[in-house]
Amino acid sequence: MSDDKDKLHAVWQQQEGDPMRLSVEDLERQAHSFARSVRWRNVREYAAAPVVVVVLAWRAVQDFNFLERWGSCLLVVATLVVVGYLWRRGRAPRFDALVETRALLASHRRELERQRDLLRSVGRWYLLPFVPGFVIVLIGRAADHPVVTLVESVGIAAVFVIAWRLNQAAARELQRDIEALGASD
Amino acid sequence: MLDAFYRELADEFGAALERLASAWEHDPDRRKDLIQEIHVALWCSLERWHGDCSRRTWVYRIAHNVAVTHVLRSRRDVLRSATSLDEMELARDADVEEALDEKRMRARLLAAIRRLAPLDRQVAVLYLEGVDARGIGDVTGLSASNVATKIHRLKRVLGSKQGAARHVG
Repeated sequence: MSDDKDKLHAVWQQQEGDPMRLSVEDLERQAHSFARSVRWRNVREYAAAPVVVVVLAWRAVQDFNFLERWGSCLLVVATLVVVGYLWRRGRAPRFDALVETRALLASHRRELERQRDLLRSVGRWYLLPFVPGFVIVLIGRAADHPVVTLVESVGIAAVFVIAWRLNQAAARELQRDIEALGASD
Repeated sequence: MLDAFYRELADEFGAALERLASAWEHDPDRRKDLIQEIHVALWCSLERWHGDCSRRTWVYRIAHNVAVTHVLRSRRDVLRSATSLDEMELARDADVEEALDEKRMRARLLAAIRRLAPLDRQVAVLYLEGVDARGIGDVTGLSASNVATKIHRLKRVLGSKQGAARHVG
């Protein structure tokens, strides 16, 4: 057995290839580039929210009827509620390279569970807040544009259903990852 | 000061980091990315070095954590297809042992290691790097007895996947 052990070590340690060398300038550039990509990712996650809020706020003060204006106000509130929820619950923990690997795996598992739960409950925290606003806007439009409103209603409902189903599918994928991670411990 | 410390670590552990990356990433381009990622993580962590553990433990901990995270984030299939030690021990009995040259032995060893689940793979790499059970426990967070059991089983599995350590040399 000891002979086998020596052979294993020898075979492993005689792998070919020169170790990579990085200059300090390269290291600093890559560290900055990584920090920048994280900053951009964070900006991208919330970039759509101000646009949606501005467009809906503009609609709320335009010359639409009372119900449409109030519906738009409710949609602005829904957007802020969703962004606030994501801000509180959606942020990923920072990666710490210095912890023991078991702790890192446990933290990764918790992160996957958190993401899975967010996706599973997307109907409650992401879709539901928009329902009152859309319903009121559509009721407001129904009197003047009944057919268009009907088509819009079906379209919005379809988008909601598709979004819900995609998120449930993504949650199931994450659940499989969690199970694989659990089996590998 | 930090530059010199980094160069010292790169000189001392550069080759081991390459071997470690080979255990985690099969694709040569992605492996290069992983090695770079490890070097950058080392560089970024230098200021947090306080000498609480050995330099080797510290470097391996960072390197393994970056490698594990790299695989968990980018290669979902790797985790799902990971094989437990139990399954590999069962398969071992069906192996036909044959004499192999060193190159093929290394390829088979790497293939066997890459099939292991993250913690087992980490224990295997550290064991092959010559780290003792206590050192492996320091890096992984596993207890010394747990590490010893895993090493015992890994030796059986890797020894047989190698096929033929005993026939060569």
